[in-house]
Amino acid sequence: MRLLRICLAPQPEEVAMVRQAISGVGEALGLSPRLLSDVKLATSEACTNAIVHAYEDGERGAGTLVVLAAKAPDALVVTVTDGGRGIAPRIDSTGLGLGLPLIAALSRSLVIREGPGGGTEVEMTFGLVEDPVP
Amino acid sequence: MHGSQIEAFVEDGDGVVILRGEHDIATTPDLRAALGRVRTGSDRILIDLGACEFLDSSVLGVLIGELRHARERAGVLIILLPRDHASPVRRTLELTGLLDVFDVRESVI
Repeated sequence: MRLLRICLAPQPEEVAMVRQAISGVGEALGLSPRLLSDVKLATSEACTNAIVHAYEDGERGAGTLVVLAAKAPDALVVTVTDGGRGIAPRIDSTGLGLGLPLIAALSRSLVIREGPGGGTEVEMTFGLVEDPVP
Repeated sequence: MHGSQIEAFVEDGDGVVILRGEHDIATTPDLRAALGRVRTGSDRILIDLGACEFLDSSVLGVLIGELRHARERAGVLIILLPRDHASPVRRTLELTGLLDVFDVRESVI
């Protein structure tokens, strides 16, 4: 069941709005504060990755970023799709490379694949209740 | 509070930067500018995250850069963060392994 669909320009100032929207979804699902915080951070990181890596300088203005949230039987699935240049190494990257490892640590599962338009699709699945501490 | 605010000043020779609200890639230019303002003439930089409700890896990248700056000039960078285990900011630092990289304290008193 789809809970959210946002289509926005891949600009830094949009990321806070995405967090606010995904927080609303998490609250409606009754997620714990910690799970809600994890979903917010992972979604924020996925959007930031797209903004930083998906487009060449100057191309971002014409780009798009689509954020979907859907409820599965026992999970929340958040998908962030860009229309950029796809998955490729970038030697001029200025980041620490912490974004994807963080998403992997925060989510129950993470899938990265080519999006329908040739860009990148990041699918993150979160439990609706906290996993028991081992 | 979902807004963001950065306060930067020099007090008793320490460069102090206070982050309030949520901080991400949109606020990193302001954070870099704030650090640049207090860095000059201060051997010790204090980053107060007590009122920071959210930060992401782009903010951590700026803080790591500042830590490198501090070490290059034999200075000190201290992160001020309450010992609240439910804090999203503390969890982000833990998950990235940076809680052990930064000098994180509850206070400098």
